[in-house]
Amino acid sequence: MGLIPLGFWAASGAGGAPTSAAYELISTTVLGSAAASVTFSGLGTSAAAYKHLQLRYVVRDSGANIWGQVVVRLNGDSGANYAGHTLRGGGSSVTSSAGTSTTSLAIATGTGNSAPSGAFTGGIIDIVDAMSSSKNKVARILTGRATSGDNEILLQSGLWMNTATLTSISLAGNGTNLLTGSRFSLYGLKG
Amino acid sequence: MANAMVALANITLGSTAATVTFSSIPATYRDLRLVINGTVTTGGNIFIRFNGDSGSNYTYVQAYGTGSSAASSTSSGSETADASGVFYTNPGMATYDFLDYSATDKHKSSLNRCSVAGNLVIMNAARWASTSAITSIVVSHGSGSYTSGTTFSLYGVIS
Repeated sequence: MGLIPLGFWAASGAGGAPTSAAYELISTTVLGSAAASVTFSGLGTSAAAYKHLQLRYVVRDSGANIWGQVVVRLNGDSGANYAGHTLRGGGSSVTSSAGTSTTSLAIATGTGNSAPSGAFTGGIIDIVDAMSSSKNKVARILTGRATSGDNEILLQSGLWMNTATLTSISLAGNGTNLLTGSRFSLYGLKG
Repeated sequence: MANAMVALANITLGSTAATVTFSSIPATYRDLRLVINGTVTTGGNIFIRFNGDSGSNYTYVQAYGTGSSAASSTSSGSETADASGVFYTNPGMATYDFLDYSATDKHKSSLNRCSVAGNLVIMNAARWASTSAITSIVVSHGSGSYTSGTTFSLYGVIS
């Protein structure tokens, strides 16, 4: 697929069309009504051709605050089999935290239902070597909320101490529901 | 399956430019990715403005490290465009992801990582408080201009 003409100023450049697809959409879910969670399942089949996975999303939850949270788990594992670090910018200071033997890959930031109408939180999760059966699973999460109050930007690492091939990824509100309009797209990267 | 990241436009400056504009952006994709690589004539903020909106409709929060310190800042209801990155006269790169850019039921969220050799590394989240689909992006600089050779690449992400 080649360049699609857009109007632009300043100078001309050149771009090339890819000769083979390395980054492909696996599945997208857009919530038409509130849901407790969204799960990408059957990855042993749908993602078997890929080496790495990327999840891109925007989310808003039913919590009563401006802030929200999204709990990320792999293969339905809610046991104390995860670890991670967080680097957080809250608008006035930078902090860092870490956890071991945690029960989720990450608790990413979200937008709660007291935020301005229409505000959602965006996030990108990269899971490297997701389909390996010999490596624990590692992830990087970039997510942030800018809602005119209680803003934050997070860079998180996540570790699932399990060498099993991924079969599912779930994202859930932390005691809340994910609201209509929240969107979750899973991509595979070949390697 | 089709490649999910499609090159939409690639601009390499042949001379110094204060602004770069992508217009007539189709609503065909789910997300947009903008990648900038280059230098500027004077260190300062990168500004991103959507659809020509110069109103107080942008909010951002960022965290950055300079090598000797780390800090965070936020701007809410700014009357200027989204300041979401910093370039210096040293080579720098910035990657912006504009999520659900074509949706008309939500504000526009973006995530950005920016780094400038010898100066700093930044991560940033921003929101444009508009439910309009993004049809144009203007990239400008707060203090100077982008130098010749600086590249601006826009991609559409299928969903």
